[in-house]
Amino acid sequence: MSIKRKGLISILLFHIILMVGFTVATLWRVVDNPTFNHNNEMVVMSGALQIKVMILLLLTSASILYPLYLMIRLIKNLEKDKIFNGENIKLMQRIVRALVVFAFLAILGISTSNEFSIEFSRWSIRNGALDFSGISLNFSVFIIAILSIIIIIIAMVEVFKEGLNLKEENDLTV
Amino acid sequence: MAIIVNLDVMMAKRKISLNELSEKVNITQANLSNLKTGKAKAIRFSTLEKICESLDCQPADILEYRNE
Repeated sequence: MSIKRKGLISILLFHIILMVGFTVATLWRVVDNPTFNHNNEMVVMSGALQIKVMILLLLTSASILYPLYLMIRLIKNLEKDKIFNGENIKLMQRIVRALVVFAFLAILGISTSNEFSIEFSRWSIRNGALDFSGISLNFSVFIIAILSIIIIIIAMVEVFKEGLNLKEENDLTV
Repeated sequence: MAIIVNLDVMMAKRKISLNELSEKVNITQANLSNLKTGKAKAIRFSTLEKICESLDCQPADILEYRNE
């Protein structure tokens, strides 16, 4: 087993432990939990909101497990010298789709849990409108990072497709 | 493909088996079979030269163009 694969498996296991720990910790302290906003005013996060946030963040955490598992399979194939084959291309396409789902859930989950967003959503509900400024303010860097990874993998898919074509041509040259 | 490989016709004319030809030309039977069945996408000049030499024929005897 290579270091890359070992690393990915460790991340996977660590992530599962974190997920379990996070669930237990959140369930433990589902009470009216005071926090402070940017004006240093006390904001109370209700138990229902905490559970909603917990479920969203848990879903986000769970959604990264699948692309991690697919990456382990991809590295396994690369180690076996199966580099340019159809399976790898399909795996990478699946990783892209799974990462899009992860990015969507992460934006939704983290923004809901974010203090500013809670404030904004409360304000929005009171004013009968939806305001997503909290999302763009706090998560633009995260979104750009995930989108960059997705774009790099999409580019890699195209490179691998071309590689597969060349390999087939080379294999069928007598 | 518009290029037809008539290797099987030439082999029948010279009464030579795939096994014998593969030994003479020094190409694996699998590759030669690919060429015979038209699965091959390309052929090297060196391979063509060896086949022509073994079968005592011209490249045109093996390869043919048909307008499809």
